Amino acid sequence: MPDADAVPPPRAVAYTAAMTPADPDVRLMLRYRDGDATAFDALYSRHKDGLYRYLLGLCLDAATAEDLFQEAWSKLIAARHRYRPTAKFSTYLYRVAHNCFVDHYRRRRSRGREEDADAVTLPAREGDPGRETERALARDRLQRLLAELPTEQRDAFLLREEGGLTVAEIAAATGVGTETAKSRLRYAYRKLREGFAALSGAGGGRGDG
Amino acid sequence: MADPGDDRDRPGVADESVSRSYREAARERAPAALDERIRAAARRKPVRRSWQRPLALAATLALAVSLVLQVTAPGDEPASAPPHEPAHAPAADTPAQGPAEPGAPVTRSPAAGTQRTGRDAAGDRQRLSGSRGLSNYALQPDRPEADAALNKLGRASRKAAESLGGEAAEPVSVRCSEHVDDASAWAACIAALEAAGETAAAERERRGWEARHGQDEAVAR
Repeated sequence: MPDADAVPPPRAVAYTAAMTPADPDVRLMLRYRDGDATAFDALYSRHKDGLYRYLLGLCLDAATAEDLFQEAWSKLIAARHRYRPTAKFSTYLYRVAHNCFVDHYRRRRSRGREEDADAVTLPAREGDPGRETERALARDRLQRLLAELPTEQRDAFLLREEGGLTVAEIAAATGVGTETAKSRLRYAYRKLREGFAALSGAGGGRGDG
Repeated sequence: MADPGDDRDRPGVADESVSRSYREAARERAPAALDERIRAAARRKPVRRSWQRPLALAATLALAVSLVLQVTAPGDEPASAPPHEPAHAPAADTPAQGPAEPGAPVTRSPAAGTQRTGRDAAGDRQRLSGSRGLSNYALQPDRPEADAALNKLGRASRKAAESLGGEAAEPVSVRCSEHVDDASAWAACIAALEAAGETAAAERERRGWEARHGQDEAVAR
């Protein structure tokens, strides 16, 4: 696989060297837009796990997260010819994923299933709980803490942690004002901090839920 | 993946611990099966349906042309008009029954009149109605109201002429042959001739009208 950041000499591209953006992800996306499939491999490798964790934390359901993950990348692939570097690539990618989640949420509500929209569907535990590793317990606790957050706050938190988006970028991706995004982030961090502290104080006793 | 350079908008210093705790716990990775599927989709060439644009253009053009023809075509027939037989060309008539000169006396045998009352007459009426539109709708076949309308027109013209007194008694100088192509106008002219007392000319015109339009009982008597 070629180096992800190595920009080859321009072929039939729609931008000039002077216009080459600083964001390496944008450069990769532009290369992919212009027909270089290897650029997509590099781009995908850089963002796939973060995007998957974002959707998993947002949906709290592995199957739905996988569906939305595939849908988001498919949309990006299908729209590559219309791509214009107007923002950071991560902002663009996570906005696409956020919209996929919103669409999914609306579809679900239209089917009258809004009552369990925030229900946690954690992976089933295997074997004796006493033999679970500390990492599995930590993941379990995190999922439960995230599930206790309102969807908007969870969304803002995950965009920050997984996408590395700034407050302004979170506001743009979610379609709210900057102050609203900042408020959501602040509440999310506060609740999670309290939750982690409570779990630490209780010695991880909430793992069984 | 948070960029340290963006820390200026961090909600608070204590959030670093939350981020650390989160990163320690959140270590899921995208399923390998999805990796392969998405990478394969990305390598696929986009399907270019080159036939779609020309097809859409051709369909649009065809629709536009048909619409323009429909709007500009003369002699739209009413929707309630019965289906027509194929138009019958007058040239297919026998020489003795060819289109008579409007002004010339028409010599017509009873047998010829009988022949004219069939398909020939219907064809003539249909040709007229097809080319004249609503104004000749009354001349369509199997419409007894056509005769009634023409009779009514004749009576009205006669009454009008009588009400005019002396003026109506004067010879009518109108040449009905000017209306040879317009059955209704021609019929009205004939009625005016009769009202004016020019019975010979009226009879001549009436025969011409019948020969042309094949409506034996149409002209007001």
